[in-house]
Order: sequence, then C-alpha cells, then structure tokens
Amino acid sequence: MKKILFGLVIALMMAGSVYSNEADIKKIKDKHNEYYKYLFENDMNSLAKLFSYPALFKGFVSKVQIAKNEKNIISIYQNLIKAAPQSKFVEMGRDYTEINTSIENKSILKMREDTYLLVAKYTQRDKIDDSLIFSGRASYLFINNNGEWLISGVF
Amino acid sequence: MKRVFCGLVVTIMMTVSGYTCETPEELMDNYFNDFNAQDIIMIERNFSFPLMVIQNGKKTIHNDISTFLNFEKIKKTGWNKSVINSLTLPIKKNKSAITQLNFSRLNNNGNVYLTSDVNYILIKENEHWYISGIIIDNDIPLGIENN
Repeated sequence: MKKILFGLVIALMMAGSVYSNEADIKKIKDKHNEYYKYLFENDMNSLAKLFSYPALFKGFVSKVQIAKNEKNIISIYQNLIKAAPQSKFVEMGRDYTEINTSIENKSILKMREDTYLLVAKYTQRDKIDDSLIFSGRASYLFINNNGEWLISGVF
Repeated sequence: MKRVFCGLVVTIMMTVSGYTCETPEELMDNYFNDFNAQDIIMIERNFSFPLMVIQNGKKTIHNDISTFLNFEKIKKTGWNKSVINSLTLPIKKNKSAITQLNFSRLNNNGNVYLTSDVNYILIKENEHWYISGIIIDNDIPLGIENN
C-alpha cells in the first residue's frame, strides 16, 4: 500500500511538472504573438511593456545594445529595423506594408526553470510578386518575473 | 632602438591577431583556459561588452570584467581550476549562438566540489565569436558583491 501511494505521489509530481512546462510554453508563445502584433502595428509603447529591463539586443546590428528602460526601446528598434534586410526594400522606394512576413515555426528551448529561449523561423516576401526578401531566425530570451514571462533579450 | 620598437610592434600585432575564435566551441575552450590562468586581460578578450549576467532571473550589466569576476574571492571558496564536462550548441545562427555547458570546479587536491550548468549567449563580430551574456545559478560564486 505504501509503495502504491509513493508511486502515485511521484506520478502526480511528474504530471504536475509536465503541465507546468506546457503551461509556461503556451504563455511564452502567446507573449511572442503579442510581440509580433505590436511590432507590425508599430505600437512601441505596448511592445516595450513585454520586456523586463535591462534587455539585450543584437539582431542585424554589429554591436550589442542594452535597453535600460521602456524609453530606450524606440531608438533601439529604429536601429534594428534600419539594419534589417527589409530596409533595403524600403530604400528602393517600396513600403513596409508591401512586405508579407510569415512565421514558419517556433521552437522552445528550456534553459532552466525560469528561463526559456524561443526561436522563430520567419520569411519575408514581396506581396506583389512573392519574391523572397529575407528568411532567417530570431531568438527571444524569456525570463519569469514574479510569475509573468517577459522578454530579456532579442538576438 | 628602432629595431626594438619594431620588434615590439610586431610582437603586439602577433598577439592581437593570434587570438581568433572562429567557432563557439573554440571560444568556450579559450575562455576556460584563460579563466584557469586567472589572467583578467586574457579573460576579457573573450567578451563583448556590455555583458549581461543573469542569475536566477536577476540581471546585471557589466562593462568590464572586474565587476563580474573576483579571483581572490573565488579562491577563498577552495577553487583551483574549472573543467568543462560537456558542451552543447542548441542554437547557432550566423551572428549569434547559445551554448549549454556543464562544468565542475576542482579544489587544490584535484577533487570536484561543485558541478553546475551554465548557458552562454554568444555573438559574432568581425568573424569572431564573443560572450555577450551568461545565465548561471546564484549559488555559483563569482566573487562579486551581489553573487
């Protein structure tokens, strides 16, 4: 009887852990969806609230940039967008609204209990002729802050 | 005098150009060798600053190595050297990568007294890899005040 009870407790603990991981992964993916929504709507104020500070950024820029607060986000994203491949598209007289960005897949890596890495593979195409502008991956570092998953790095 | 100066310049150039980490694995290997040599200048060349250190969710930014590592305090914990037990590269992109590393700290008798996991955020600048972020447990002494 003791053995059965012990086994049951272990099984419940394992199930709880799996559920916790799945629940966390769902929350992280949802948060990332919000990130993309705000980014394409150019809603930087809402976007900035998805981060915990300081936050680290690499992207297409040559040097790492650190955002110390919400105010820093706007200038950092201006630099990131300027260095991104789609800026060449705009330099040729086209508009960002003419770019179709699609997320091909999202993978999640658990680094530790309070830290996950989300990797999004995405493709950008010209809406007019469907030609490829860019295809690549972006990584987002999520850290749990008092129960809320927030982004601490984009690279 | 001219020859001495010329020799010095060539030596400095060779020292600087001699340090290249073309792969994340090579960088990790170099970093641990420099760490074990306790040479701050050598250690610093493995990093791209600002460096973000994340310990149990708490983040700190460092602009040089002195605020991140203190060997005098690390040695007081019994440390003599560190060894890499395993290294994986779950993410590698053109300009950034993540390494997952399991390492041990050994005391003067060569005995392991601490084993832990650490993640490094790596970035590539001018074709060389550098450490830009470290995610490590709070109970790994780095010899800094908030550690």
